[in-house]
Amino acid sequence: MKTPIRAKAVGLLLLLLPIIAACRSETGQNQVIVYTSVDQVFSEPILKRFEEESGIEVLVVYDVEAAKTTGLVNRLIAEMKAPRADVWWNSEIIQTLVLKEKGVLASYASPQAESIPAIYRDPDGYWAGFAGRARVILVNTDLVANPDRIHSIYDLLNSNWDGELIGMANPLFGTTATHAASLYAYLGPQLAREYYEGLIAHGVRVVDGNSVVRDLVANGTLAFGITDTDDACGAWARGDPVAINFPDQDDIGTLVIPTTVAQINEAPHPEQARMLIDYLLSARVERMLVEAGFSHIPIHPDVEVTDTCISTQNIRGMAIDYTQIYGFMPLMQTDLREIFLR
Amino acid sequence: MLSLLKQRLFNSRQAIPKWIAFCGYAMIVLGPFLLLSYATAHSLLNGDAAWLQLLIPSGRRLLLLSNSIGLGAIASILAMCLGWIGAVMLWSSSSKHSHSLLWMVLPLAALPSYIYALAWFAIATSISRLLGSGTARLLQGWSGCLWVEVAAFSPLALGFAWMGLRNIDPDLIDSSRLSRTDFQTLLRIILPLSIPATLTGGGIIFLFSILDYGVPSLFQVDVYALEIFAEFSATNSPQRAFLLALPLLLFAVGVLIALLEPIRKLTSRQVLHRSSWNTPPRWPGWVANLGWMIGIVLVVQAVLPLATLVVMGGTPRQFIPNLIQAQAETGYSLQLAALTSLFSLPMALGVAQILVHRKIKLLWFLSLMPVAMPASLVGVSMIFLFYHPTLQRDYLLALMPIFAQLARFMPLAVLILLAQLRRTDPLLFDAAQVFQPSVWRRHFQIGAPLLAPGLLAAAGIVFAFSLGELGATLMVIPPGKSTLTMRIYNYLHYGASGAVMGMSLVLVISIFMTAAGIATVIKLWSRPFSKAKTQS
Amino acid sequence: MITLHQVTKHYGSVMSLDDVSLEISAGEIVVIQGPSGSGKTTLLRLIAGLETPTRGQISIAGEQVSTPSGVTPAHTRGIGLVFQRSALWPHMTVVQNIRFAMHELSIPHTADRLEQLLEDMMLKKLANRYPNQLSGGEARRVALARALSNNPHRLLLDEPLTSLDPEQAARMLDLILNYADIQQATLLYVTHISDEANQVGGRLIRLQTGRVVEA
Repeated sequence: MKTPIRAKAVGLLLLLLPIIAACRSETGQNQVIVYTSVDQVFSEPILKRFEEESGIEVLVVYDVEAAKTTGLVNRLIAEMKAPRADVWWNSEIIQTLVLKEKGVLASYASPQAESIPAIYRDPDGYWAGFAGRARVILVNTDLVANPDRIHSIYDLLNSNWDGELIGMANPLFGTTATHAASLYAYLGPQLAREYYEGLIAHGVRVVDGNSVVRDLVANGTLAFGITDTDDACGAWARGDPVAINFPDQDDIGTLVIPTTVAQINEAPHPEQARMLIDYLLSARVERMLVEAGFSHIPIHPDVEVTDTCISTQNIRGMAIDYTQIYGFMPLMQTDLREIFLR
Repeated sequence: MLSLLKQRLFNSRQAIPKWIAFCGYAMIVLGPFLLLSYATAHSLLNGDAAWLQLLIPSGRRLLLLSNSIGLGAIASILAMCLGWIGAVMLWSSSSKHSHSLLWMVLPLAALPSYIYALAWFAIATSISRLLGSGTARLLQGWSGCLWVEVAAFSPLALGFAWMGLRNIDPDLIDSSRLSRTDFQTLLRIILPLSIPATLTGGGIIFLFSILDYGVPSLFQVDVYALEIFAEFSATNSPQRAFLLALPLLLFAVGVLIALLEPIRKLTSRQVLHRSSWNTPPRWPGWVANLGWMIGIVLVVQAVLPLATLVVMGGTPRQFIPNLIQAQAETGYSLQLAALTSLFSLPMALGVAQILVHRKIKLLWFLSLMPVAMPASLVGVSMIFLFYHPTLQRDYLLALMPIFAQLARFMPLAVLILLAQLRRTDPLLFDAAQVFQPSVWRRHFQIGAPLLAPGLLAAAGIVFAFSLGELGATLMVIPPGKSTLTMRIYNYLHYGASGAVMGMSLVLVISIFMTAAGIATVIKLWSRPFSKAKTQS
Repeated sequence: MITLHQVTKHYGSVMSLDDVSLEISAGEIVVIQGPSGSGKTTLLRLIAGLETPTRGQISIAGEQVSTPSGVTPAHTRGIGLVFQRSALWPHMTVVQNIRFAMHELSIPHTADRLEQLLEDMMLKKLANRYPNQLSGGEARRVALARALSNNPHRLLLDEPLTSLDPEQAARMLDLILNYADIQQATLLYVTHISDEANQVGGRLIRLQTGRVVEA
């Protein structure tokens, strides 16, 4: 005979079943699994549209910037022996190069990538770039009378400005790290190191991320700072008193960082993965990212920038190869940890 | 002879559930740490001996380590002091509202400290607009970092202090009040007797503080945890990050283990459940004033960020779309946290029952390691441990986030249940064993009610931390799923402060609703017991 | 003299003491008897100042000490109390337990008094032990020593012989009665055992369901 207490326990278990069932992950055949570090607010609508148009279910894991680029990239590396993801869609390029080197990626020469300039795609087809962003200087127009004169990364060292009023994100992480490595590649390690030592000596504020730079410039805590185009235009779009300048247009140029997409080696759903990659690399998706305010430097020749936040016509990009930048990452990391983390 | 054998067999059968629980615990909690240790040793033996220098913090790294330890120590001491004094004021207050106030503040422990930081930033910006930019500088650097950490940790500190005070035998207080003033009683009797819970709380806060790099980096305070992440980010090598983390882990766990011994000595058995202050206390004027002041600080620290969330994210135009959009994440987060806390209880109880009569320091050491390990390393080792082409089963993958959260927070449940077991008269369990042959009945009708406070506290802590967990969950979450905390952090980067505040508000409301649900269940469950709360 | 005037005590909806009036003279020995739940402990706690009466007043030596609106602190009442359980502070040794209970100012020779108590209660060898290192009988003796440490004029004892073997119980009772005799202290002795009540002697007050049924 069942005791009442046993009945209670069984009842409790029955109550739990739906909760456990709800946690079940759904995996099937006609689906594609994407890991992405592109902000959810931009990537979600695009992936949803792909799902609607193709009938392929899209399962996404979104990266989180607070994990300081140790999140999904390391997950992909750890999962190498039993891959779960099909597609890696990265908001920048360096981590994609890391994954290529670690053997996480598969080669796929998408027909959509053919119209993309060679500098923005891997010669062996391991990745392709689109929807670029650039490094810009964001200036508070209430605090800086003539904002156009802040137009070089060397203005961050200008002793006419109190270092406390100048800001940048931590150069050990994200696009700020890519920017630092690009300076190492372009200027040479000696000059680049001196530049960063100069920033510390000047007392420039190192904040938690590019969005923090944007917010602090926008609210007048900082006079100017260096950030990405999407962040800068975000401030401009909400009507903050800011001006946006591309740095060093008559000299080294600014760094353009493309969004990259790649197929995972031994992906569980290779066909669907390729379909999604083709879709993401299409001019249509790039246009969507431009219209959403994520990208201001489109790679496809026929995509135009409609956003009036900043003119990207004829901007001068840094003449440097991404693999070169990637090569300088370890040295940059070692140097800047000594300079910035103490 | 035969009966002796039978008895032995019976005894060993009794212990089976405990050891099953222990095996589960060992696999989930000790597994990641042991695996990473093995992988690291393997790398070292295979020619990466130069990595050993990562183990020795010198120069810049030593400075970072001391920053971390200093920040963690000051934040945990301040939070525990505030929490203890606040808890004393609530505990000794005759007001019926004191309990409600406690239950208002406690659920805030689940709110990630990053959200506090954002709210305080918003407050500082508004203040500086009103009073000039100088005032905002107060909330910068170490002072700002400490202020936010203390604010974020004080609900937890309040909870631990409250637990410690509630566990003091009221007769011990009464016997002191017969010959000493209430203030002397507070200092000489109540303070030492509440030390176990205070130390445990302080230790846990210290651990969480030294592992956090988010709040310190917002305030430009360089800490060791950021160095670990910089290393992991630069090399993508979990082994290197693990080696670099070891000095911090060893220090933190060493401190905790050192604290466990006084905790073990000080815990006394408690049998009587009666309120401790049947005549109101009389504190010296300055003590009462200090209590008030600290009460106000605690309320400000809890309420002001909440109010900011409401103001910035609570307008219907912002809040309702957020609520709808984050519906799936909210539900999933609550399910994960609920299941994690539920799964943690039988396992943690089994382990606590094994540990309660033994002094297995090594086991303690090993099981506290995952609590002190950077979250993403726990996540990575979970993948190494459980991901295998032959193991790619949906249900296993669906359980991974629960495993990851269990690995991180189950030792806390063990810690709490161990304290509860030490405080419960073992004769009551012996009596149950003598009179009730059914294991089920013993567990449900004797064990559960007797251990209820500890079980609830353990479940609450695990629930709260699981809800805010980010690093390990991100590594193992099934594709297509997302937690509310992940969504908040994702939007945080985008800079949608209104949406972030709105979602944080959804998180807070979910926490409060869950807490209210649990409180109702407890009330219904304990109704038969509460009638017996009278004097003979 | 201890006077209780129409004292009532509720715990929520449960009535523990109901309209109790009593007068206990200085130096009197009173045994309070009654079944479990009759309100004996509550009566002692009210006199000690550890509970607030729901209704009524309590006076000690002509001074009103407890009313529903206020209670003078327990430590000012000159009362020694032995709890039903020994309630020794677990973080203090035997000697620390006793010393902490002493009012340093009211006793000029604390050390002498401490010495004498340890001697009387046969606690000298146990002086530096912690409560968890004591047997039940030893713990009761420490509890009594602590209650007597201030030379109280009023000694309240809540079933002090519980869990003692007959020999220990007889010895303990001797100590208590001896103290009351020498100090001319008022003794309120709670028990539910008739034999024990007879051994203590003095006036018998019988409680039942919170009411005095015999005084």
